[in-house]
Amino acid sequence: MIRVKLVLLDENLRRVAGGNEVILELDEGSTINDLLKIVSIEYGGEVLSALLKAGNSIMLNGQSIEFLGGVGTRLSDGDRVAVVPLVAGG
Amino acid sequence: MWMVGGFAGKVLRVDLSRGETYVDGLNFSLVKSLIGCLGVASKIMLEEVDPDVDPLSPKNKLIYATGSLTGSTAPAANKSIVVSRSPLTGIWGESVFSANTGIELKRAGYDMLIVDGRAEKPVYLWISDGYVEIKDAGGFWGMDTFSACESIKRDLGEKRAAVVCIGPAGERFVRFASIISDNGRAAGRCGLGAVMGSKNLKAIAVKGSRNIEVANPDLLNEIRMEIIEITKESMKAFSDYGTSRGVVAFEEMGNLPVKNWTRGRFPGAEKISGIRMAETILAGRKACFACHIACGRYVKLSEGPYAPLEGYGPEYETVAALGSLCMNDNLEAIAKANDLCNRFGIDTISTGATIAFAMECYERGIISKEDTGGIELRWGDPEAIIRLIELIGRKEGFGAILSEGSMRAAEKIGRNAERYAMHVKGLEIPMHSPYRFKEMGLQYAVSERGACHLRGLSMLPARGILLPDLGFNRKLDGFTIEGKAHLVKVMQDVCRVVDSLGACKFVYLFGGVPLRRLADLYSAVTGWETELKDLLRAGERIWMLQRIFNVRMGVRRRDDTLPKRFLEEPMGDGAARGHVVELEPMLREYYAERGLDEEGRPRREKILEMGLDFATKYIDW
Repeated sequence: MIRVKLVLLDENLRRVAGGNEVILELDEGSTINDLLKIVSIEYGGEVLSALLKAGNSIMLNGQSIEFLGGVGTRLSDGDRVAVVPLVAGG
Repeated sequence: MWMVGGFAGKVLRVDLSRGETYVDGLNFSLVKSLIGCLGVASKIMLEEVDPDVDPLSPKNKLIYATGSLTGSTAPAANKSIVVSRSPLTGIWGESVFSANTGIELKRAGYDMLIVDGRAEKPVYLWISDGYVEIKDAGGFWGMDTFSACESIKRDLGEKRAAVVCIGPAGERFVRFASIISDNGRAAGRCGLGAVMGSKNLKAIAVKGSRNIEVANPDLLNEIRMEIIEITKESMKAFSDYGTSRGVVAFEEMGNLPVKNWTRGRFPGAEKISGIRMAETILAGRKACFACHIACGRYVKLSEGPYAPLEGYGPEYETVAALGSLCMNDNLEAIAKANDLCNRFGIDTISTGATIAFAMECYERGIISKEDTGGIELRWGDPEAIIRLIELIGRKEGFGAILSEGSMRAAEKIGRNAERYAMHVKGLEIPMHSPYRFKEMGLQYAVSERGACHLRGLSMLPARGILLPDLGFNRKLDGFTIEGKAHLVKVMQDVCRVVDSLGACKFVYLFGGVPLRRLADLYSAVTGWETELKDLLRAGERIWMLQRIFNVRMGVRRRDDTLPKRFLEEPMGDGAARGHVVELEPMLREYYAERGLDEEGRPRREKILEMGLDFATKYIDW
């Protein structure tokens, strides 16, 4: 098993999910896609939809997953996956 | 007179040494080629400010210009542009802010005010429609900015007048002194408040009564409604949480500066964010003229060590500069420090950066309590930060050294302190990390006024904020350097356009507004049919004029650089861990993009190609 921290930086998402961050336990070799499936199962489709809202960016350890392996990016123990809103600040 | 929509058509000149005022006509063919007064001011600075003019001497000019759309009711078109030779950097000095004074100036019949000379004693300017008076400011000298603005309105018996003024710091020539408006906005950067101080000019008060005519009001209204519709949702987070909403996300992505740029992680980020502000000390939101977003904050402290305090709250740059950069996670202390900076009239970015520099020097034993007058400069200590702000604002004790800015303070301190002074050409680095967004490293190195985030905002496409009308229609990787020279060049040009038009960069660049609509707005207001490519071409011209000014002031390739920390010391932790800024290859490409020679000087043929023939007489290379 690996432990990954999911950090929610969008206020609506925080409200829907009921918190700022959560530790998820995943199988070795899991990907971002696997993490999203677990979010859907454990927190429901509403949280997943809010998370995947257009404009939100998914970052692995601070880098956008587009520049890694997309949703197929493999996760490691201790990783941080953050959901960052588009217009985050000034 | 040939009139053009959006403009008043006149330039007011004030010679404080002679106590005289003159009115010139605005040169509309020049305005058309340079899309407004920012470009005109650039030409005037080239023509009238020679390299031997000390920024704090009477010969320096202080130009107070308005944007082309300012006051036209185009959304968030409210900017005033202040230009001078900067006492902090010795090069192009400029600061853009949402003072209502600019709108009133245009209503009073002037697009631009040019102040020369030095008054014998403290004065302020009173401009009311065609009436101009140089009035005694002896009774207001020494007052903090907000008190001075209100007192001057009372003195005039004019509640509706708009006032900008300097505080005690500008009077004492603090090199990063700001100009503050009565609506709580700051022309913070480049020390233009010290230029006002050097002219014995405490304030400028204006009231106008004429309408600002536009060429096509129906079209203006149509575009206005469209832009409001687009941005009211996309910019909602700015309304709700202000610009400092970004603190936590920026910390996550490695953009937040921490501990004088040595760290990327800051455990206190949540505690100082705009979200926390909204949950605690926020008492209201403040909108600039014609803005529907209202990202400005109004805060109130009723209890605790910094109470009572009620007034304009800190925005992102201030929260980071006086917060994470100094390891301070006390939001109430940041609010207090911000209020003090505004009242003394000092730039919050340069203040925070200079204090962080001093804290690092203290930690490294380069300075001690003997140097600081007994103050322990421990990281994160809000009391030390507030004490230093008071000393800088009054130019007293150790504050007198810091009031020179980090570059000069490091020279005075010696002992290798310059290694920890984080500035470009003397202007302290603002709060977006060049480790995280390499394009910001290049932008800081080559920006017109020294390290500036707003003359470019080149990290937007890497943050996913796309600008398809500029060709940036996919997200870029902020950690790479490929294509960044072109990115910086185009983003600089568009920022010159937005500034020249007097529009807000948040609304027009962050909010999903198709940029061609900015050209449509300009066409609707002026009546000059203009496309985006025309505006960008003019933006490039403005940048080039300011580059020529800087080269005349001595800027060369050696100056287009970054603090060694960014080039040599890999970031210690966070998302940008291990990164440095690979500046040289980006810089080489950038010079080629701009038509600069190997020393960073504009090539004559490039200047001619851009239609800036008049400028060739100012190049001697």
